[in-house]
Amino acid sequence: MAQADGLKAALCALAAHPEPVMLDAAAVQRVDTAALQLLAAFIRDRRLAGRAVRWQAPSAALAGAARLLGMGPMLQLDGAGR
Amino acid sequence: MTVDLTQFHDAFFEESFEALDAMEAALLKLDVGAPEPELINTIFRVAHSIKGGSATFGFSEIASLTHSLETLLDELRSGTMPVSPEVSELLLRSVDVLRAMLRAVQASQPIDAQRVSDLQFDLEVVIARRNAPPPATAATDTAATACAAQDSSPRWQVRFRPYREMIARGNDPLRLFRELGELAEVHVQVDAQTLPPLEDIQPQDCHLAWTLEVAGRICEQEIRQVFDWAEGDCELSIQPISAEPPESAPAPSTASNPAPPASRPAGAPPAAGAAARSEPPAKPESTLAVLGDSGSIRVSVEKIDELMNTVGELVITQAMLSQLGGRFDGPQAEQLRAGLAQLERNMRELQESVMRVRMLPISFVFSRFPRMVRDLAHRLGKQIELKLTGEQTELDKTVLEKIGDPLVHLVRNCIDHGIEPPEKRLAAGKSAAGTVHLDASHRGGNIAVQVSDDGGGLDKTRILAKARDRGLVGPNDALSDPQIYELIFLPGFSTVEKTTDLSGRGVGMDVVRRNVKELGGKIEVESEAGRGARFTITLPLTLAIVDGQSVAVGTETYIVPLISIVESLQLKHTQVSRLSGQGEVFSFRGDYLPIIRMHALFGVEPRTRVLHEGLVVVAEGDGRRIGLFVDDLLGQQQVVIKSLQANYGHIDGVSGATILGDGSVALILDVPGLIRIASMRAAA
Repeated sequence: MAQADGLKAALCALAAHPEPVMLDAAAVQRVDTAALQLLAAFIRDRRLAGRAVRWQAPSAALAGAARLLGMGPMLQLDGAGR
Repeated sequence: MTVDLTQFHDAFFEESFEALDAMEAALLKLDVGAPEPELINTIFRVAHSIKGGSATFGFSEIASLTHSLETLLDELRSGTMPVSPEVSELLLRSVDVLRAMLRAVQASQPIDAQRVSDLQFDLEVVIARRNAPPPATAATDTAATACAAQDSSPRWQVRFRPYREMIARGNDPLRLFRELGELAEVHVQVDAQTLPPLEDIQPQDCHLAWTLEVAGRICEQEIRQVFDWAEGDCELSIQPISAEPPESAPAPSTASNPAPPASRPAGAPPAAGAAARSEPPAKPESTLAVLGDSGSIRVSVEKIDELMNTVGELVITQAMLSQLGGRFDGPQAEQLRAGLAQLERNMRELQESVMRVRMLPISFVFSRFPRMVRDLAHRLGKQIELKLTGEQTELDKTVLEKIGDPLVHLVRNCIDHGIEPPEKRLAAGKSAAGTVHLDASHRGGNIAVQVSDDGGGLDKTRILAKARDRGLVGPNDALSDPQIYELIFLPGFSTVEKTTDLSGRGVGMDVVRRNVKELGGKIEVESEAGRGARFTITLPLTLAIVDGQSVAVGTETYIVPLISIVESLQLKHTQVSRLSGQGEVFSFRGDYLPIIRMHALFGVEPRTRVLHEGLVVVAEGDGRRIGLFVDDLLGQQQVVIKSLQANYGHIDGVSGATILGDGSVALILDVPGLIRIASMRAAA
């Protein structure tokens, strides 16, 4: 939970960043629904504001979790990590 | 990026222990040969939810044992294995082992590995024996075939909407979906419509909902089991998807998604689609709406205590205002008093409601006895019927928790000493099976719990002989029956020659009495030779409030708990005598009771030092009586107990304090403590 709070703070700081944001997720080994939910909101908010988010080598754990939760498309992770 | 799970351990343990209790109760009701399916389902659900929880928290030994247990239960549920006495015994043993394992894990102690592996071995032997004709298969396979015969639909639509706090309670949908994915093919569509902007999200809240399509050899119940652990934390509906699309079919696609549409249309997973058409349409009545919440919430005891405390303070403030209001004059005084009277009524209601929150039915304690009696009777070769009445009688949780052990002692005593072996009973013209009866009822502001049996009764001659032996009673003292029965409550007293591992070590009745006394209650015994014995425990309903008699000594007020008062009287000269070495005593119904002068004990200047000018309150505790010399009786009232121990320290003869209506503090007397003081003085 503390980590989810930390993630939220980190994402909030990036939310209004004018340049496309690159998320480096190569080292993600475990991920939970709370974290994916934050990422989903982050990506959606940025898209609505016309700002891009890109993934840098998302790990299989991340992509797998997104797929299990049916969140691949909204996280722009579809097709990755299969 | 994981939730710290340790914060949920307490809830897990609490829920697991409760679940095991339920499982044990169900097992005891389970008829050998013709088991009720609902009971087996209950037992199965418990095993399953403990398995889920322990797997989540990484208690792998527990998860592995419950897995074996589940496999066995599956066999029972599908009817492929009969419920034999052996199986029933094995399941009961599993409850014990699981309980021990949970306790060990809870206390961070090592698990008794030998016991666990023995059990696991036995479980597997039983399962293997059943599976001998067809080669052993994995649990899920047998489950699937068992279910397939019933109501398996090739495809299911599962709508799963977690409540916001579900993640915070340690249930991660991810884990549920992963588990479901192991059982069947699952297509997931997420509904993120209610996902708020990033900065408004509380990271531990769940704002997502899901629609899942499950295809494969899986029945509704198996899907439900996956979500079992989240029961009460989500809305869940499971519907079969029939070959002919019913009117509800477009539902998944209307659950629109602000994110780019899923790459796959919701209606038709390609793999299962073809198979679906060959199946008969599924039964619509299996459409179950919501897993209803149980209508209750879990609240920590501290919160209730806090509430209780605040209400206690309010009661005192209200009493202060009432007293103040009585002194006012003038046109508005009447209105003020009416308002105060209203306040007092509301206060009382509030106080009672808060008290009720802490009340639980005594069945929480009684429920452990069927198992215990069964086991004991088995071991001692006795036939015993347990009768429970008044299980719905409610009492304070604190009292409830502390009354369990004394009751266990009493019931053990009844079975071990009270009930005779069958042959002896038959010889005495009684039925072969003895009866142990537990009863609870309200009596005024108290609760009475009775443990009675129809055994041989207390053996007066043996008790007396033993007491003489130990020098507890003089060789020529004549004792009345009640006095003889009182002897069994003395420390180290036991009449059983042969010490069994159940009772007879002489640590029993004195501990029982001490525990009951600590709760402000008393225990009495009645017995009739050849007909049985009855123990009656009288307890206050709550430890937070006591019915008291306020007495005046000089300018001070003291509270004597009503439960310990026998009567109050004014002494005559002729009743009082002074015994050398014993201080003052007075005659009371043929007995001589010591007098404690309260003013001397507490160092207060009294109104009078002449005994016949004041009053004596005869109080009882520990089976002994004393007279408390006071100036006057003031009145009876309920007082809110404030712990002195917590705020000051322990004082002999005082159990607590309360604040009176005028704001002054009154001490609540501890009668057994006063009796100890009296006997110490006599000895000095």
